[in-house]
Amino acid sequence: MSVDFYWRIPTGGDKGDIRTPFLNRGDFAATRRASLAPGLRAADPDDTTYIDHMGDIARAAEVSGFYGALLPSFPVTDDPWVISPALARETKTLRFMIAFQPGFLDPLHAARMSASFQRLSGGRLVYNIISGGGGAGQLWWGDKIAHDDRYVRTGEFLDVLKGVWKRRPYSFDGRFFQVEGAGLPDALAATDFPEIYFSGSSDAAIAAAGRHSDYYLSWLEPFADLKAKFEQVAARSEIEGRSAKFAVRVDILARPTEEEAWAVARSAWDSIDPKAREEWYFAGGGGDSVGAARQAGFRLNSTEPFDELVVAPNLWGGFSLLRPGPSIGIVGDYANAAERLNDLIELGVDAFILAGSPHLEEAYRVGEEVLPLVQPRRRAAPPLVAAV
Amino acid sequence: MTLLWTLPVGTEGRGAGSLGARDVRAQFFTPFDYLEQVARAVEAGGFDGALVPFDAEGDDPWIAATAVARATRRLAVIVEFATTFGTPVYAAKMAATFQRFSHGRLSLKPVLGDQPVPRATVVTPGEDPFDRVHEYLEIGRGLWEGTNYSYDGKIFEVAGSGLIPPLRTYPAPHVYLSGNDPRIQDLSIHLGDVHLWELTEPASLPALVADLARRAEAALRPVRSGLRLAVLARPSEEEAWSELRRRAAGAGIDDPGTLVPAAGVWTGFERLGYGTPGGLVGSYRQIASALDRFRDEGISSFVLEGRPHLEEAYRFAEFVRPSLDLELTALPA
Repeated sequence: MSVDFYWRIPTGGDKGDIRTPFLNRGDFAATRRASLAPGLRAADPDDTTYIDHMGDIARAAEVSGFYGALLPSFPVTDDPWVISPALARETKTLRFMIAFQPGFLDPLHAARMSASFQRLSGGRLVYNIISGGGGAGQLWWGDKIAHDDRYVRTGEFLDVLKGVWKRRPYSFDGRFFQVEGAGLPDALAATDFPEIYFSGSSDAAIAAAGRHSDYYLSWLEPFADLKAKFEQVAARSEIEGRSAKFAVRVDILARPTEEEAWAVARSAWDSIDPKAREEWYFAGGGGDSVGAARQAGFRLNSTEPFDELVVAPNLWGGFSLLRPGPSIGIVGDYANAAERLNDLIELGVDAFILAGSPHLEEAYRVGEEVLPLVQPRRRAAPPLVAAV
Repeated sequence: MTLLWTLPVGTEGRGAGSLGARDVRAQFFTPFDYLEQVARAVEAGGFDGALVPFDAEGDDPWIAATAVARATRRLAVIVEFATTFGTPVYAAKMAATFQRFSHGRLSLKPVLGDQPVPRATVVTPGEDPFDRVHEYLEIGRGLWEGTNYSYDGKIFEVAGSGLIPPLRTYPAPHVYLSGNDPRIQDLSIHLGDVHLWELTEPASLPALVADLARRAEAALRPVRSGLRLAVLARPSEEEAWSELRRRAAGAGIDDPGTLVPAAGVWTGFERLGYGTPGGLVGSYRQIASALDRFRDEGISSFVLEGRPHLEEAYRFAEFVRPSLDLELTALPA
């Protein structure tokens, strides 16, 4: 059994230090003296853009032994479908896990985009299928479909996507998609169908995951809760006659000693405006994401100090205040960080999506110091599949 | 005069077609390597830009366009895409990232649907494809103008949307629309930047161009006329027509002379697999003169197509372009 390690590419900007209270890498935040952003020198456009920095992070991950990279997709990020082909041409073995919501792309065109990407990259596409958080964020995208229906749409989307790619000619008459006798052209259809990482914590999500996902992806939660979720998905998959694998998205703050690691976390915590911290504690979110609600539930409803967020050994729940995303992450020395990953592997995790700020330097750090201490053999990045 | 060259997206490729034949040296050469090579040839040849066409049987135009932009430094890139590929918000987001990493080199050419390939889309039966393109362009423009944009149309609805300022670092891409249908001309006048005519009836072109210019001026919009055409140029007129006859025969067209509406113009190129029916056939000088005449009649952009793409791009750059009466500064693509 092998475990795949992915590294996150910060498509919405990055920080040079996790303690820096603003995004200073890239042009996503107002520029200040500490900013590293394109076109800052002498008000003249230079030739760099943020995609060059993302390319550097991708190459750092590749050199450091990561199997692939995750490219998140939100209203405030650059778009993964545009970034990934460019970065694929500049890397050799790195897989590209593109996050996207099925409601935003037509499945036949998504199949074509995907197959073309396989031709361009030598088969390095991976899907991260997300179904959205609802609320104002969803309306931003122009999507009014309610939560459970979004998962029905996701299920239909994946049926059609697979069908036009691998079961041509394909016909389908569903609630959201209808197609008759459709299919990709031969050379595109011959490319490999990507692995599917599937996200979602609700019952509707887990039902859809059971039918389609290769890897069920969750944010890190306390281990008992994670185990319960995995068991639910496994049961669901069995009903569908499939076997599920599991993946966890987790931030890592690892340093040579426990003291150093916790000092960084505490210093980052202290640099946050107390009022912002208080608002975060009581934040409702406004969306319909069950996963986000679960993460909120793991926080304590108080302004207790930092230590109260240590939910288990080396698991600290304050990350979502430092940057948008999962609350719980790993803090500790390299050996303990690796041990927590080993614990998760023992729990049944087959793949990880790791992240840390700054993403360039931390890719090297985690790849060089932590991953070698993780027990099972990592899937070696095989030679490129010959492009057709 | 803005000159653009059409790029290959797979079904034409090299010789037998890069989609059909499996290259035994596959690890070393891919259709995308060839695409990038053509793009670099087009840039080196002094063209202002390149069109990445939508071919339902070929590679995806967005993926191809991204590779082209990354392989070039200054070349403008026009992405021709089906408005059924995804939502307008998603398209605007992709366009924004494309602008950011290409330094603002993107132009868009939305086409109506993707017939004849059967769709798997949320297009409702009875939906008017013109409405779809219209709402696509309206929403795209709105999202680029700022935040808190809302739109409630026949097909699409957004609320509180808009690109955040970092994604709007560069202006919205220019919009190319193509077709002789009056409804498309209306869209061009109100929401487009370049209206691309095709060379099917050369005699009617000057009047069409003049009419569009009049209506654009009345609407206070700077819409330009462009021409999309094939080009088969050789050192002499005889060689050019001889080459055309050879290719036409290969496509089962025994009497190509019936498709000559005016001297030097042939309208059967689509049957040879080109993306447009009309084109110029002749010597380098004849073709340069014809392009100069079109320019005098009000056409400022030329989207040219030659096959094979690489060699004909070089040929045009080296032998036709020098004969053009070109101003030294080109209009933006």
